[in-house]
Amino acid sequence: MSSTRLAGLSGDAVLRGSAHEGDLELHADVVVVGSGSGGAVVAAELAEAGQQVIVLEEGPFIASDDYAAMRPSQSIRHAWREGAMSAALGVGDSPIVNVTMGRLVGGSSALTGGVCFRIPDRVLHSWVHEHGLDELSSQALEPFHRIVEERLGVTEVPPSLHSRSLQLFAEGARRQGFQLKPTRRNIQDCAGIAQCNFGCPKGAKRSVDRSYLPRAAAHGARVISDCLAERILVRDGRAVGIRGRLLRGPKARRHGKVTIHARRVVISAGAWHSPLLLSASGIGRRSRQLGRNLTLHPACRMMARFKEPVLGWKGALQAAFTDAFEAEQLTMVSLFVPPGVLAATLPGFGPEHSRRAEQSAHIAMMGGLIHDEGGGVIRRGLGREPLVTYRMTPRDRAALPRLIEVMAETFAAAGAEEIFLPVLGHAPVKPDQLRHLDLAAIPAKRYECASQHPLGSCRMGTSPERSVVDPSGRCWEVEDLYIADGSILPTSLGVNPQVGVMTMATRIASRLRELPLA
Amino acid sequence: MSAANEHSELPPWWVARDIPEVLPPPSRRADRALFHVAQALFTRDQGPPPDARLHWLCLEMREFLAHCGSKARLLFAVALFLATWVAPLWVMRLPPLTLLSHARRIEALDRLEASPIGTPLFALKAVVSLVYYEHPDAARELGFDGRPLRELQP
Repeated sequence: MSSTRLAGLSGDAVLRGSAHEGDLELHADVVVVGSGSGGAVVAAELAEAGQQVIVLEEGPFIASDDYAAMRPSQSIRHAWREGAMSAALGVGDSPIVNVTMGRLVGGSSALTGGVCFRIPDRVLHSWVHEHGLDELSSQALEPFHRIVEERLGVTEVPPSLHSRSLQLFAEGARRQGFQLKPTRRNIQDCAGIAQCNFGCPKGAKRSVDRSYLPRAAAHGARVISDCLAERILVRDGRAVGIRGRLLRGPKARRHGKVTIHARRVVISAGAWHSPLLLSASGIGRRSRQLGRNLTLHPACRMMARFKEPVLGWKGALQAAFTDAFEAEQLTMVSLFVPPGVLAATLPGFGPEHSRRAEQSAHIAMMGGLIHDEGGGVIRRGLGREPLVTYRMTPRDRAALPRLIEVMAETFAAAGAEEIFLPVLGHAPVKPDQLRHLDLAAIPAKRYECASQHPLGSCRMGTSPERSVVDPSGRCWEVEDLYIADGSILPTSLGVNPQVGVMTMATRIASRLRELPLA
Repeated sequence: MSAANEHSELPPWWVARDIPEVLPPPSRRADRALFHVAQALFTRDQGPPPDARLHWLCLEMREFLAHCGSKARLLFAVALFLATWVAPLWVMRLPPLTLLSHARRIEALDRLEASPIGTPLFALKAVVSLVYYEHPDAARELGFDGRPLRELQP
């Protein structure tokens, strides 16, 4: 078989801040803060256009072969932000949402399930007609969507990679009167080991450290890892660089100072950190929208025990989805996680917990997310991480028990013997007990909610009073300062946003290629 | 981690990587509390897991927490505090948890988990379980073979 796998970013292209002695002062045409889905795309597109690009990444450089060799918990401790324990605190009757993000060269892209959705037409329609962003129509974004998909090698997951867990999900869906659709992913030669979220052990995922960053490096871009951007340098109303610190050791302690002088600055630190960097630099506060409008796609997993062996880890992590409940703001996806992660969420202690864990091979799983309206706020907290609060709108709150209900009924229809609700400490239920449950009465804080899609905290808009960046991604308040990451999306998408973020970044970069440097 | 390499039946990517680290010095009190919580959590019908496996877990957790941010370490410490000093109250016993009988410890933690203040315990349980079940013997108890759906040709 001829391999279509891409080689990862070479260590030669990376200056490891942890190993550098002393301070660092460099000059470039463009400095990009963040090396994930937004930053890597901008870096590659601009480097290919002949611009001198420096990419700053807070996290370490872990060669793709190395992180692919890690166990899940090693991946979490070395490559995930805050050991995967970041959270948005629920305000009022809203859940606490565990938000997981990558913190390494390649960003969360290296740790996604590889799912590739275009920005849905219905979402783009709302951006054009409700937010006035005329330039973001389906037709206008079509060429950028296409470029991203070509560069990532996006393909449909073949049925041969469907796990038994997915087949049971599909069987339940069919009996409930809806169908699953195949997922498209940026993965080639997938072996079906359900390990994507921890770095593909087979190197099959075309995350940006295998796709965009090597291209950027081939055109002269330099990546500095272990480098925390602390302030955007502004002179005469124009962004002229970044000041930061190099980081070292497991606790990422600051050591050398970093100054990058640049003619243009692009912030791609993600929805969690881009607003903090702007705020620390005294930028973006005028609109009062900085750090606001955060959406999360709050998600829950549903597990069910079947009589037959399922061995759900044999198969693609995410291979199918359904948008049959789109009108109710719900998207459901096939999903599986390594058994240790699965066992971690089973209720009980002692023999009761262990008996359930030992049934892992019989457990099927799916996930569902809510296309939320936004109610999160990012504020500066103690230390480097923000304090994030999240208040669900009544519509989103009502969608939460509905999501649980639909997923549980689907597995019940597939013949599950026992269903594990994503409710803290809740004992598993038999399928015939489902109709007696009052899910809406369960306090939101008891739901086990997670998110991998923080978006919208520096949103794009048509006026400086209502948004942080203009339709070209430029900060309203400062010349030559752009944001290109999930934080600029005006609303949530209702689907995995990786390709959406990359599409927007490609569009921004295409303009920057044409725009003369100061 | 070196114990993991002795088990060749799991695929190399599962066990191969040992990352040398300079770990912070152990906190005997925290290690002891974690040991007892883990012993209660992972007790099977056949009895508690071997001490060696729990010591391996404590060492792994020390490395795990060394890499987490300060907020995550604080959350873990709060959860361990709740487990040690609050959980016993749920079974009408005086803390600390480490002085309770094994059966009482399981009952106390079970009740704390189901209580309105059980959320931090969930975080602790999730991380500890994730690490514990990576031990090859524990992974085997789950029936995990680590093999992909299809083995690729070289």
